[in-house]
This record gives sequence, structure tokens and C-alpha cells, in this order.
Amino acid sequence: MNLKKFWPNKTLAWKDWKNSGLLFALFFGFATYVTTLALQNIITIYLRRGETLPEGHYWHGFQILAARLSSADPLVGIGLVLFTVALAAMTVGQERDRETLGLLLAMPYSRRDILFSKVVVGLGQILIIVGVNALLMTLLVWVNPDVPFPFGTPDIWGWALHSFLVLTFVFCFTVLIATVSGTTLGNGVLALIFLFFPAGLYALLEMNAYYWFISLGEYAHPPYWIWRDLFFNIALLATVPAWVIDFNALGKYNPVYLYGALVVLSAGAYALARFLFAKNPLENNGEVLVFERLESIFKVGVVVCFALLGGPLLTALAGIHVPGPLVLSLCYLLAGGVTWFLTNRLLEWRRAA
Amino acid sequence: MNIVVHGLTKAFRENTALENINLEVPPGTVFGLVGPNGAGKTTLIKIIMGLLLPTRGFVSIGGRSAHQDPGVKSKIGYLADYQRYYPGFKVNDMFRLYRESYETWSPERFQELCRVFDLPENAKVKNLSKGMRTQLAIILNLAFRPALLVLDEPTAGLDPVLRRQFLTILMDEVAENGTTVFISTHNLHELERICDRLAVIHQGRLLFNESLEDLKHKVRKIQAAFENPLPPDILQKTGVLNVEQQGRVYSITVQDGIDELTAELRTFKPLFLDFVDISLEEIFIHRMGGEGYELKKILAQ
Repeated sequence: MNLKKFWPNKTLAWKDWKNSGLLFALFFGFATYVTTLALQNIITIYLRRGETLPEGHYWHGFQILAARLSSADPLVGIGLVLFTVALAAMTVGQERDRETLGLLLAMPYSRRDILFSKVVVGLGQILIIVGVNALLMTLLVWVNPDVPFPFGTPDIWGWALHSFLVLTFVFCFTVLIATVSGTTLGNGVLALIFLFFPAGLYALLEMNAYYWFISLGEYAHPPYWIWRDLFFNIALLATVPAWVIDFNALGKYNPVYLYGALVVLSAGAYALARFLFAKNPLENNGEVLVFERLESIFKVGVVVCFALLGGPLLTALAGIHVPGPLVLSLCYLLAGGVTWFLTNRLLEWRRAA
Repeated sequence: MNIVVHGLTKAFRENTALENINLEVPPGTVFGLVGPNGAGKTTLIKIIMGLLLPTRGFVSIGGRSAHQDPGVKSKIGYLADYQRYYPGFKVNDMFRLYRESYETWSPERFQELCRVFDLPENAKVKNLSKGMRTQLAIILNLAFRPALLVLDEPTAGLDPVLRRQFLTILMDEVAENGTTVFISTHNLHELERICDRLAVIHQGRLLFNESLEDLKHKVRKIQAAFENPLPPDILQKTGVLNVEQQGRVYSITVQDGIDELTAELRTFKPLFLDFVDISLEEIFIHRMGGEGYELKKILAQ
């Protein structure tokens, strides 16, 4: 068995590490600030207070941190996902942005070597970020035996494994998007749309259903929580893996199955990305064509989503608390029409550029 | 290392960039490709390098496809029309990237090239001028002693001294290692110095593909002076590409049948009759003009 297949080319890996070094440092800094440094800070505050809590009671500072580490803190979650998406979107996108893909492809490396190195380096960086912080937090827990932590070493490593697997999926999925999209920014935006789309669309449909109930006289006026829930779902970083695992969207399955499915999905996303990148059916002098081939589908999708969002929003902005079916339909048409017009102009501008 | 291009067509949506290109570059040959901007030169080079896939036809390098078999690229040096590097890299980092990527990297050759092109090793590549980037590309692509060099406008951005040095280095490379060179340029004078074979590409079609020796042998310029004007029919014979007359002196560019025409001209008792050197540009202008293309216009585009 040739083990070299499972190891990236060291020159390519060095190059990829060097190119993503700055983003890795920022990612590492952010993750360390919100985990290890936060824990150290809370320990310091706790010790300074000198407070003794009864058996079985824990200081709220530790409980907040525990919630954060179990991915229930939207800001931390969205931060980690955004950094991961940026790291993955850069893999192929940055080579296109800087037009260095030609330089690389003229060298004696296969497209598979090139992508494999990028994925291994990216996942290695995520592993270092998660692993080093888990190790540092474990040390902090060990050197403070008198502090009553509401979590132990197994919890810390469990959260680390959870984060690594979720971020691995996000990374591999974004790499897949990057092989069929254009620049780093385009890859990132497209990946985020797809990652948030299922949860976002669910919330959007739910909100519109309530609006129609109102319109048909089931409710007196739109409850404020319709809008609150829509944005709460998005703010909670309701990406597909988080939705499935953190919120048990599929029911109380054995986590081993869920994590197993996540690993399989990540591997599948990478395999598909590798296939598409190796086949290179999509590039035209560096310009990626697949988006254009799927352009009409994307355009209709964007128009439908913005009509669903804009229709109820327009009625709310117009101060119509109980919109009739005709008004609501007109608002859909107006929001959809404006989006259609703007999308076409945007695409024309992009082509001209 | 030879290049074979067979029935190559490349279409970008409605635009056909290359149409049924056939050519062969034998090992150790310097092959020049001439054409205006947008003629399809860079597209052809990108397909040869495996960066783009052809719509139809195939390209093989030493019997292998650069796209399907990337290992073949370990023997190919490639200078793109504009040098793109990783902006965070220093010149030294680029040296390392190439040194570790090419097994045939020669430290001695690298030192020789560094003596010719004096680049600041600790400078960031993003701070290099266009000319310096080209110099860096030359060092990187010659230091591993490639069997094939694919050059797309390689002297763009170089000053005349460096341009001359580069061409000298290129000729040494060919003489010492039998390197095959595929070079695309606008500059016919440069090609004349170094090429064995030339092709002209225009609007995606190969108009012309011949060896320089054949061209110079086939197309000659006769300069002769006569006491009396020559009869017009003698200047309208097949093979006469161009006639210029200044007083009693005629300059006749002729392709094929030179001996017959010379013999006929001698019957008019010329005051003198000489063969003069003809430049590549003149040959092209007359040849392409005969085929309905004006090379000056093609190159001026």
C-alpha cells in the first residue's frame, strides 16, 4: 500500500501554509481569545472574588463559557464558521484572484495533488487551532484543582471533537463550492448561502405561512416573534451540521451516527471537489463557467427568497397589520420584480467587468 | 522533446479561439509563433501546457499529454505572457518552490543565471518591476535545465541589453542541451535571430508554417539595373512576389523559379545584377500579401 497517497506533497504544503499563514494566525487568535483566554480570565475573576459556592452549584461565569464551548453561543459559532469558510474559500479562490493557478498548473503537479495539499493544510490548521486550545484548557483545569468547574477534561475534548468535525464539514463543503465557483469572495458568499439556506428557508416559509394565516383571518395581526425567530435562527448559526447536531433537528439519534454521517458527508464533499477540480470542465481561461450554466436556477432562487422575505417586510413597512391576499401578493410581486431587475443588472455589470 | 498538435480546435462559448491547428515541433527546434493580439497564441500555449482543455483534437509533448500526465511538466519550462507570483513570497521563496519542485534543478546553472540577472533575493516579488519579474521567471525556468521551453512573449518588459542577454542564454541552452523552444512573440527581428521554424496565426487559424531555411531559400530579392525598361510581362511571371522600381534599378522579390528568372533577366544585359539579403519581415509581407493577408496590418493590430 502506497502511504504517500495519504500525505500531501511537502513543497505544495509549505506553499499553502505560507499563503494562508495570516488568516490562520487570525483564526487561532480569535479561537484562543474566546476559549482559552476566556477560561483563564474567568478563573482569575473567580479566584479574586474568593467566593465559595455550595456543593453542586457552579459560578455563572463558568456556565456561560460551557454554553459557548458547546456551540450554543451564536457569536463564537458564527466566528468559527466564518473563519473556516474564509480559509476554505481561499484554497482555490485565492489562486484565481491572484492568477497564480496558471503558475501552479504549469508545474509538475496534478490537480489532485494541488487540491489535496490545500485541504490537508486547511484541515491541519483547524486541527491545530482546536487541539491546542483544548490542550491549554485542559492544563488550566488541571492546574486549578480547587476551582469547581461545571465541566471536566472529557467535556473539553468532546467539544473540541465536535467543533473539529463540524468545521471539517464546513471546510470540505466550501472547498467543493470553490471548485465550481470563481473568486474567494464568490466562493465564501455562495458557501454561506448554501450552509444557511436550509435553516433560513425553513424559517422564511414558516414566517410566510403565518402571514397567510393572518391574511386569511386566522390571526388578528402578525406576531412579533415571526420576525424575531427568523433572525434568531440565522444568528444562531443554524448551518446544517449545527442544526442537526446542536438542535437535534432529526430527533434524538445516537451522536455517533450523526458524527459518522458528518464525516461521510465531509469525505463525499471532498471527493466531489477533487473530481470536479481534476476534470477541469468548468474553467475558461480562469473564468469559471459552471455558475453561468446554473445562473438561471440561482437567479430564480434568489428572486423567490427575496420575494418571500420582501413581501411580508413591505406590508410591515407600509404599516399594514392585516394584509389581504391581494396586497400580500402584490408585495411579493414588487419585491420579486425589484430583485429580478437588480440581479440582472448585477450580472450584466459583472460580465462587463 | 517534440510537440505534436493535431486537429486542435478550442471554442469559448460562441467564439472559436483556435480552429483545426496542425503543427509539429521536432526535438531541438526553435519554433516561433507570430500573430496579433487575440490571434490565439496564448490559448494555444495554454493548451500545450495543459492549462486548458481542447474542444477537439489533441496536443502531445514527447508522446504525453500535459493535462493527463502532469509528470511531463517536470521537463518543461514555461514563461507566461505576464508573470504572476504569490505576493507574500520573497524571491528566495520562489527559488525554494522551484528547487524543490523540479528534480533536475541545477545549483550551478542557477548560480550562472543569478550572475546574469542580478535580483535582490530578499525582495518581495510583489515589489518587483515587470522586467524583474520576467528575469525571475527566466532564472526559475532555466535553472532546472528543461527539455522544452514554452515562452509567451518572453522579452516583454526587458530592456534591450537584457533582451539580448536572454536570447544569447536561450541559444546556449539549445546548443548545449538540445532544448526545444516554442516561442510566441510579436517581434520578428528577434525570431529571425533564433528560430528554425516559423508559423503565423491569425484569428485562430494557422496561416503559415515553414522552416526559416526553406523560407530564405525560396524567397530571394534580386536587385538589377537596366539601360532600358523591362517589358511588363517578365515582371508578371508566376513566382514574382513584388517589384519595386527606382529609375533604372529594379528590386524584384521572387519565390521559386529564381534561376529561370535570373537567366531571363541576364538576356536584357543588366548593368548589374545582385542577390540582396531579405529580412524575415519582408518575406512575410510578400508571402502573406499573396495569400490575401497584410502582415503589417496583422502585426500592427
